Amino acid sequence: MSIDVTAIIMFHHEGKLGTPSILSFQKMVDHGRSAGLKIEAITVLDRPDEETVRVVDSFRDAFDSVLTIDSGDLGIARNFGISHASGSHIAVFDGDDLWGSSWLARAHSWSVNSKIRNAILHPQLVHYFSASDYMVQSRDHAAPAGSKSFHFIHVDSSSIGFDKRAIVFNNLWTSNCFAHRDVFKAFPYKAIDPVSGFGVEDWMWNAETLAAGIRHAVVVDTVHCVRIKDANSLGVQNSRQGLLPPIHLISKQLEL
Amino acid sequence: MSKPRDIIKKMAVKIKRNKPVREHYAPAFDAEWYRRSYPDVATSGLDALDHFMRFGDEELRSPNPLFVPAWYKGQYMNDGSKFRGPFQHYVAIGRKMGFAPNPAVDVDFVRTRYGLKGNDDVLTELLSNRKIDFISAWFSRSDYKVLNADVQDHEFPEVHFAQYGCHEGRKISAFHVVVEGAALEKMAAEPFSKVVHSFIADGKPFSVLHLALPESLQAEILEQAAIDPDVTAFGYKALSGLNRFAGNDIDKRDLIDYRRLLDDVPMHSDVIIILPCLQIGGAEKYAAAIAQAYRDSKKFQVCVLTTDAWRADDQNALQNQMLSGIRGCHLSSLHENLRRTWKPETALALLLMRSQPKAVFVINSDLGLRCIKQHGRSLAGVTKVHSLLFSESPHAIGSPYSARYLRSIIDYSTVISDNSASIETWKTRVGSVFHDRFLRIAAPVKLASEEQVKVLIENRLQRKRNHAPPRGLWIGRWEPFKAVDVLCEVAMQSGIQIDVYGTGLPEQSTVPPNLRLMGALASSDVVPFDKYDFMIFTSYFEGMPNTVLECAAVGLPIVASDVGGLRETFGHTLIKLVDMKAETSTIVSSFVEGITEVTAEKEPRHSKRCWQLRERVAECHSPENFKREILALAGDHHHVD
Repeated sequence: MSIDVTAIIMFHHEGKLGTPSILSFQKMVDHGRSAGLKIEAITVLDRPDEETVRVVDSFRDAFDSVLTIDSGDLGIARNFGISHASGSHIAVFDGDDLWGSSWLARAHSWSVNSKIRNAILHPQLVHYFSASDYMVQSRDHAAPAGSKSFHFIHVDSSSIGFDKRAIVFNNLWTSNCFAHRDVFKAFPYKAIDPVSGFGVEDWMWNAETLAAGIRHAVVVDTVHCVRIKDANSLGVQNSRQGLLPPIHLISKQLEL
Repeated sequence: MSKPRDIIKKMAVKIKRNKPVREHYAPAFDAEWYRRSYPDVATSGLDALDHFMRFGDEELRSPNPLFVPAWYKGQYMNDGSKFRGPFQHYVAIGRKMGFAPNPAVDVDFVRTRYGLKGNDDVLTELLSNRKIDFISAWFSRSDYKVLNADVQDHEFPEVHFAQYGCHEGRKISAFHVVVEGAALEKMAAEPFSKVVHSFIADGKPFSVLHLALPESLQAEILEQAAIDPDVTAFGYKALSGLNRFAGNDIDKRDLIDYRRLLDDVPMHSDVIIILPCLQIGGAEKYAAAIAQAYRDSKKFQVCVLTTDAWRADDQNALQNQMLSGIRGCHLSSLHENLRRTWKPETALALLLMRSQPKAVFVINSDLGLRCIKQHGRSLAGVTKVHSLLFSESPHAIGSPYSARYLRSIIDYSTVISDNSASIETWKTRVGSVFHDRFLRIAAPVKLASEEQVKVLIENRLQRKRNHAPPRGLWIGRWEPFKAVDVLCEVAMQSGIQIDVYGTGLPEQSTVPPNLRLMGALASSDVVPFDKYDFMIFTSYFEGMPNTVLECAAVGLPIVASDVGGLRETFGHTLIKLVDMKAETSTIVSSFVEGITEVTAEKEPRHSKRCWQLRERVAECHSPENFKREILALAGDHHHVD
């Protein structure tokens, strides 16, 4: 039985926040399966703490495979999960976020209907949210002053006026994406190299694939909900170390 | 032949057709409001409606609080119509055609929403029905009042919108904004924005934009909120009102004009020098010397970046000969572009990495040093990073940088000084494993020719023979840390004329009369050294004072504060050094004694001292040595293809 999509969700130290993520993940996988997709659900635990292990264990039935790795590196952990994937398409997820239930189905449909094998797909809207916003909660249509929540709208790299040089200064797409397995094979995530000072694996991956001519496309009517990270996340720790993507390696391809 | 009765009948019909009829006006005419709004009606002696029909309509007066005549005329009466006024046009044609009385009303919407029948007049209904809130799909009277506190007491806030609100870009609702034509293109690029209405007011085009999220996306988000309520912790009703931006809109996300930044730093700049600003000072002269050294080699393209706000005289500073080395470089100011972003250090680091220079010199730039502190590890993987710290005085603006940054930059950067005294102090603040990161590169000083020095010495000796009173020279920025208080005291006590050249000079009346304030110098080349018998240098803190070196290069005797690297170059006998840690009175006396000694010095000791000064400068501050040491700092980084 060939697998259409392998959905891989990564866990580190998410603890109790893993519960809503797994529920959302389950709902999304179920929606995809009812749309006729054969979906393989994998979770990768990278140096997990006890609470995270307990949470994942309590949802053991949600996964076809539970993999464990000891790397402490987001890129290496993703590559590890991808290496165990059987699906023709792969979708990666971070373990404290949530995703619109239609994401897998719509993304797969886009990929098949467009016949573009090597595009990287992103949701149309990323809804960033923070629990701290309870302190400023609005009772009407006006966004509360001091709210940390915001919307990040992905832009298709093939859209008119898209300037790929913008990726020098900031990441243009979030890390939870969907693509044919060949894309991940051709462009494995790079490990963070604290010694050399290079990091931010998803930013660099986006820059590298963009520079190589891979289209970053947007699937309409899809949403990811990203939890604004606290200090314990690997991403925030890397940011604190001042690590930057080695953008100079692809300066020429980006026509800088 | 027509009978007279028929003719009169025809005339009556004709009159009836062309004259406005009171009964057509009356339902929508608010006489009491009209009299209140236009007090001159009372003195006219006319009935309010008569006044309006005869004069008011033509004068663009409103017949009621809802009808905006000026707007109506601009919107609908462009056909050269022969109607006396906008309301006559409305009564005769507009009402039947479904024209709106003001830009916020959608006549069809009001009819449908409030169940008006075919003959019902929308304007009359809006005036009489106080329960009507939405007068179009996008204008709610209550929303407009809530969002605009100064309109809360208006019964018909849509009139405020028509007359003022649209011009001021007032918010209409949580999801609607109004923009004028010129701004439309920019606003229409906002994600999920849609133009829902357009109108003309005062001859300008306006559009109402709907900014709400599509319902499909709202539904997806709310579905997740059912799993985790944190998703809408801000209050689910405000979902459409959250800040939003397109992922590639770096300008809005990071408040950076990134295209301009990429232009500001040319790709393949071989050497990048980062300064706070351009002014005439030791750090800037040193930077200019670095730039000149690389440019002279003809192998390096040099880019100079300033990171602080330019001051009014910075452009003039660039014209000064002392900064000529910078003039031939690509020069950009980053301040304006980076001042609003929350991460200027990161933007600067990415810019430097993208250029892959062979060397980066950060000279006294706070932003530059923060960039090394935050991202030095990444930068060091791409280029050679060198930090130069000047102005170790706590009184000098923004410093001392060594105290603030030394420990966090030493991992990734060499730290360069023009004098060993600073380096020895810095070494005490870091582990010995880092000691080899410190470099002393003496500032280059151009020597005067032997012939020039001979002439200067002879002129000086001649003045002595003629018993001419000695004259002194002081050069610098007039700032407290330059011990200008001591200078004034020395002038008063010694009675000797001292000419002061520099910037920031005070009014002449505020200093002793024998302290002559001469103004700024275009370059050290223009100092009339032949007029002076000695140089006096006062300062409480210093690294390596360039002005002293330049005077020594022409063999001018010197009395100086014992600061910075002066001992390193001159020892303790070649120039008269004054201990600045003593009491002020002692300091002043020491200066006066020193001046007396150097000016009284006889031949051959005087000439010997002058030549020795020049030789010391030649040995320690050779431009050739400087060039060689600076060029060695550029790495072998190749541009990665």
